Amino acid sequence: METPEGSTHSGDAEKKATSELNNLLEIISGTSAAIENIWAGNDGSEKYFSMLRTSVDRAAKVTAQLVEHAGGSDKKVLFHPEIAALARGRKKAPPSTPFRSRQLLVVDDEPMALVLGKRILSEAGFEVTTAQSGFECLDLFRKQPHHFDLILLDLTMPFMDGEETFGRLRAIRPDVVVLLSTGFIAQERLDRMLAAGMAGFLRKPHRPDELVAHVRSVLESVKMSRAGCVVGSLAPSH
Amino acid sequence: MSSCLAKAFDQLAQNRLFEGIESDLLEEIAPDVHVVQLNTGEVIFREGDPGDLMYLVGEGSVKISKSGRGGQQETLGFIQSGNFFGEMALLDGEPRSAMATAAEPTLLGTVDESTFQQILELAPSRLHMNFLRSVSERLRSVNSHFITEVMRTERLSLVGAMANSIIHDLKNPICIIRCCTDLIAGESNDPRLLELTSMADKAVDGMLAMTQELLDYARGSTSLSCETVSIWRLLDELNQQSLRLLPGQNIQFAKNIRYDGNVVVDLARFIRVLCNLIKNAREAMPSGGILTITTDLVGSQVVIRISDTGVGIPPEIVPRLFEPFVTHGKSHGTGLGMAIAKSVVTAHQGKISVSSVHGSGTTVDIRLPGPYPQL
Repeated sequence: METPEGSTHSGDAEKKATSELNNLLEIISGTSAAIENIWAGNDGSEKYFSMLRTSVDRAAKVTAQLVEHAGGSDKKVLFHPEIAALARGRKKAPPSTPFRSRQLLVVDDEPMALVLGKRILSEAGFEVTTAQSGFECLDLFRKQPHHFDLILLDLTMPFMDGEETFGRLRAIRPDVVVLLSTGFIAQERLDRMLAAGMAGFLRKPHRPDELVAHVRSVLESVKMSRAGCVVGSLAPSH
Repeated sequence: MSSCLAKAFDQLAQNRLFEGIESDLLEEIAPDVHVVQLNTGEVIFREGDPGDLMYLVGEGSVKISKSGRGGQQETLGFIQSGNFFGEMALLDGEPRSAMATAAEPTLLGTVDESTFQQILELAPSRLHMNFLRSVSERLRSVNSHFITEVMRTERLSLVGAMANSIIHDLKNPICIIRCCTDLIAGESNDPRLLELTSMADKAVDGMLAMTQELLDYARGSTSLSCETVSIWRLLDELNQQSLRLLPGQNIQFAKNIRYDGNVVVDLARFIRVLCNLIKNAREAMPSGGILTITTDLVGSQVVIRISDTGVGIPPEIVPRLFEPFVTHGKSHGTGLGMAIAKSVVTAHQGKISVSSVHGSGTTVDIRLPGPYPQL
């Protein structure tokens, strides 16, 4: 991965490595769930999958320590206060029966992450478009700003990172719904992006069912918000 | 001029050294105190100079520094107006242990040894007190500076140790994941599954490489365990670990052995550096080429050179090549390789340098300290 603003501090090395490890773990977590879904398997195959799940969980615990060690946000999931309030207000996630299929745009510089993200979210009933860079994301978004209901955005991308991409998306459409998915982010930066109107953040690795549940929950909250359940919309708080 | 001098003496009379001393005593020694006016950056004395004067700071401030690692001046502290310095050399007769420079336009009063003795005789108890108090204050501040410094280094090494153990903990689960995906891949012919398992495998490889490099990086220059090995042994290790991959990629191997004596290296870590360089060279020649390993003795240094006839590195990247996460032309590098190479070679008291011509190849030179004469 090319990093134009090369860093000289070992702390930065740790941050980037942690982020990368979580990205890779996310891929393993996604592929093993997908394998489990399609493998007819034989006797004892369940054993492999439980071993896989346990190992991914153990590795994720270690990388969580690394995140903490490198000074990243210790939150696994964090939503914009308004989204969080709406989600709490709902007794239970209603069965998702959208009038039309929801349009998602998944942005990640890692092709494997795109293949998986598309697969997982399509199986859950979403229409998924993918973009391999912030540039491609903006190109697609500019053409049809109101086509996408939610953008699932990676943070660490070369040449234009998720934060800049997010800022530029908002400049095109201020009420764009962006969910950040990354292996590492400093708390300060996360707070800044949430204050600027980002819908939420998920730390990689997440299980496929968690990812789907969070995406549904955010979309539901946004729908309620726009229907006027709460005054105001996802506007920057400053 | 004389009023100027009078003002200077007034300022110097306020010095802590003279606190509580009768003004008529001060007038007696005033003619022996010489006033000096310095500009910013002017050197008062250097480390190692003979010490025959002590200094009273009337106006401005003075930087005290000492040459540290690599000959760089490290600042020990600043002496503000109203304080004095340089007294140590008058007491013990040793050369200056540090360097003094005017930090701003500064007015100093100089006191030579005999005047110093005279002051001591005129007002023994009061002066001794002032002197002792000031020196003990300085000692205290140096101590606390030292303690903070020690704690900082300790904390840093603690951080390194923690990262180490965390990374070790990662290896186990990753290896189990690898076993599981291998087992699944071995028991199925479904192409969709094979695609998924190969994806998981790639991610596992990435994680393993990343943890290994992070480990090397966190370790830095510590825990080098060196042994004396011959160049042939080095080449044999390289042959086993990386050179045998070359023919399959249409890459010719050339060797140019002008030195075949011994080198003192941490074999495992040094080989990893060389393997990494060879891997870079291989990746720079996707459609084949020539990889040359040269060994030579230049002056007292052993040179190990790896050059390729590949795509080269753009000139703007070359100066930053050894920074972590500066990678070129690789979509899946961890970005730590060259940073590790540099830290490992430096730990061997060696030097590493890269020269590259964009479009026609890259040469990496490693220079190690020469061998001891063989007995």
